[in-house]
Amino acid sequence: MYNDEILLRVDKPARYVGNEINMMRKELNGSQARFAFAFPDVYEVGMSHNGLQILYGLFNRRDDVYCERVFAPWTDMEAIMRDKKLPLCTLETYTPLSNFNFIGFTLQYEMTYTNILNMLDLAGIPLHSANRSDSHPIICAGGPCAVNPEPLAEFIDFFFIGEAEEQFDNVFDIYNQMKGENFNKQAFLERIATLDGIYVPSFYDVIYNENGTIADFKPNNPVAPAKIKKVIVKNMDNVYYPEKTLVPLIDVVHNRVALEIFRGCIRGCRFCQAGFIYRPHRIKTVETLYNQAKCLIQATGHDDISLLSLATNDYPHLEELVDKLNNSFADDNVNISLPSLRIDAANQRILEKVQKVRKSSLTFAPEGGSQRMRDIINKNISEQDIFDGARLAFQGGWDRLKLYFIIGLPHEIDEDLTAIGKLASDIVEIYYSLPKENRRRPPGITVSTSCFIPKPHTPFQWHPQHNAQDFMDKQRLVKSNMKSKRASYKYHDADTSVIEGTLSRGDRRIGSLIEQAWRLGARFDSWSEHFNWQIWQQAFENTGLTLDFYNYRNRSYDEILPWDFVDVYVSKDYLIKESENARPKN
Amino acid sequence: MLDPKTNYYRYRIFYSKTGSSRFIGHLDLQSFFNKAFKRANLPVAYSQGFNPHQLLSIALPLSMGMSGKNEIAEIYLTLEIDTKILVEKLNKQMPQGMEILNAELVPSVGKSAAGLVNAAKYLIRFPSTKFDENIIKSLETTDFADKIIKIQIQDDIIAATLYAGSAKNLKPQVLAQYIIDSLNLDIEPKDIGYERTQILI
Ligand code: SF4
Repeated sequence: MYNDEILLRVDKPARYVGNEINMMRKELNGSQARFAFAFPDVYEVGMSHNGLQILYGLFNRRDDVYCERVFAPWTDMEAIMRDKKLPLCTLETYTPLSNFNFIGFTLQYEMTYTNILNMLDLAGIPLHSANRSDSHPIICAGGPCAVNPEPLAEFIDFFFIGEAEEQFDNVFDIYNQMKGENFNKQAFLERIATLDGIYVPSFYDVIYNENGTIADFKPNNPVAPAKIKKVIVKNMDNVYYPEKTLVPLIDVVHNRVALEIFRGCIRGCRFCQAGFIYRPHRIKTVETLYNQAKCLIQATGHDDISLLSLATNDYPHLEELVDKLNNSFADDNVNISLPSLRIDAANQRILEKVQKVRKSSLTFAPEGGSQRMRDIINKNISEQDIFDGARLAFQGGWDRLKLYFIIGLPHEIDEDLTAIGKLASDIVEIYYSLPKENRRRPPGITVSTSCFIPKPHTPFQWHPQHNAQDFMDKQRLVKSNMKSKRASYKYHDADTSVIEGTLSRGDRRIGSLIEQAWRLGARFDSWSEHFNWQIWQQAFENTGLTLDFYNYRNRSYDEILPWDFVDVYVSKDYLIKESENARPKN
Repeated sequence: MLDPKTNYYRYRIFYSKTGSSRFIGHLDLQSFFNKAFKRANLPVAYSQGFNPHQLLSIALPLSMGMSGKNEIAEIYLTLEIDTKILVEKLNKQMPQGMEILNAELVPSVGKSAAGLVNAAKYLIRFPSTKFDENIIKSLETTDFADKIIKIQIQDDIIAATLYAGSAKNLKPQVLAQYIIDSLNLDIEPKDIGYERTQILI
């Protein structure tokens, strides 16, 4: 453990001491493959992430693997570590990261990329794969952002694309066969490169056109496949799910049992990367979920079960599941929560059942303000659906509604933006049209907008993104049309969204931008208090890379995109068709 | 209406909180115990009303980073349980640094331990300092002198029994700061080590 001299000088020292309930303690016998699971954000965020819990259990179920955890140290801790020259260590055994066989970063959102470099640096590990030797840890990465791995290609030895449950055992098996004094990293990478989902960037060359676009992307090593296929779990009922999960000793973002009810999404909203990259839609049975809940409640002592998925409404046995969980656990004072459930006639009863006591706020995500825009993005929800849902919510006693929209979407016109305020006012009207006994207090409608970021593997991947000024103009337009006093407006920072746009659709050269930004001091870019636009601007200047090229230009359908070699089981032809279908018809 | 607590069994639990468990803050400690009782499958009693919570109370919050050698919490159970078994079950749910030392059944009505707290004993360690008796003398003239019950020195450690609780309370940090100031010690307050050895009720 870090000593008191350090721990008593940082905010929330528990972030750095581990010792949580269900933490894995293993006798180190020299024969395990040692894996540091690295979450490039602060402890409370990382510990709330279900993927961490799954992989931690999955890896540690093997006797020949010891998976430990490390999080991005907050800036106060970083300052002390640099001052005292302390290396970054894992929570389980306080082992410096440089002593591990593997360091695996999870890529949940692009704005953590500078933290990845910072963590490598704090570990005393060279940032670039090319500068690391066989005795350095193997640096790998996976998670949703790995569907475009190129921005991190210079830093990561291999990426894993897809769902680890189905493939990572093979990686460990191969490693454990090959490890030892004469371990040869190159040979190891060559062996795993033949597995589905494994991408070794150094086995590929990129050639650029004069205009900066990609002329060719091809393997330089005979073992490397031309396309990397995403790995998916076929049967969600048989796949590994942890029987116990880590229970932090301090408050984190989510303190709960997470039940993943399905993966993938049956909708095809055209802006939504998750909707495409997690395909196909695979559900767990009620039976499986019940057994997992029972096990996890006992193992953690949590008093909340959250049903997780991309769109809870689409779970076909929702009522049966909620009833079963309620009947079994309500007496033990366990609540069921359904984040991301949209109220409609079919599930109003379900909501009543789970929110017996506290009527917290309900959420709607029409994403587009006008019907025109909802057609463009393929969001199959009509104005009538929204109004009906709002009425049901009000009648049910929820008088706080949150509405989510995206601004700057392709083909957007001003009317799509002014429609947002109108929608909010109409919903307020609905409230006041209800009989008095339904109205305990004035309603509260919160409208939030995020800025559109074109993402790889979506039908909008070719579209230009707006610049920050445009986004701010759009925000102003939405705001000035927010007429109802009962509606408030919140919006997402435009500058951050622009940088996220660069990193999302970046190629290998974007690695130097990330490195520059990190050298100039960028950390925790997803935190508004830390995000610094000037730093990124300077980084663009220093590297000669431009927003014009990465964000603002129209890409043509026949351009080779940096992520084209990643096969997420959605064909380019299909995306082109969908991109065409999105064009407003008039 | 009869207080439902009369039907329940109140247990006073003595525990230590040291090592890395020192960094569990007071609020987090409550939810930590909530979950530990659940995992231990103890028949915990809940409050009535819309948002039921466990009938748990922790006496005298311990500052973040301080060790507690003999802390006190109270919990109501709906069934009577052998205290040895209670201790055993709970200890299976403790992380390193938390240990249940003892438990006793106490009358289910009447003030909670939190309300009964009267004083607490501390060991306060000042790195590389040697005290002499004069420091004790000088404390007698401070405006918090009446809140000190007993004080002793041994090398770099001050052992103090201080009033604690709602009636009269003195934090050991206040005492330590006074000592630093009056002796002009070159010590940062954060480098002082605190250990609460006992809560007196
Ligand atoms: S926005 Fe929601 S419903 Fe639409 S594709 Fe994405 S996850 Fe599915």
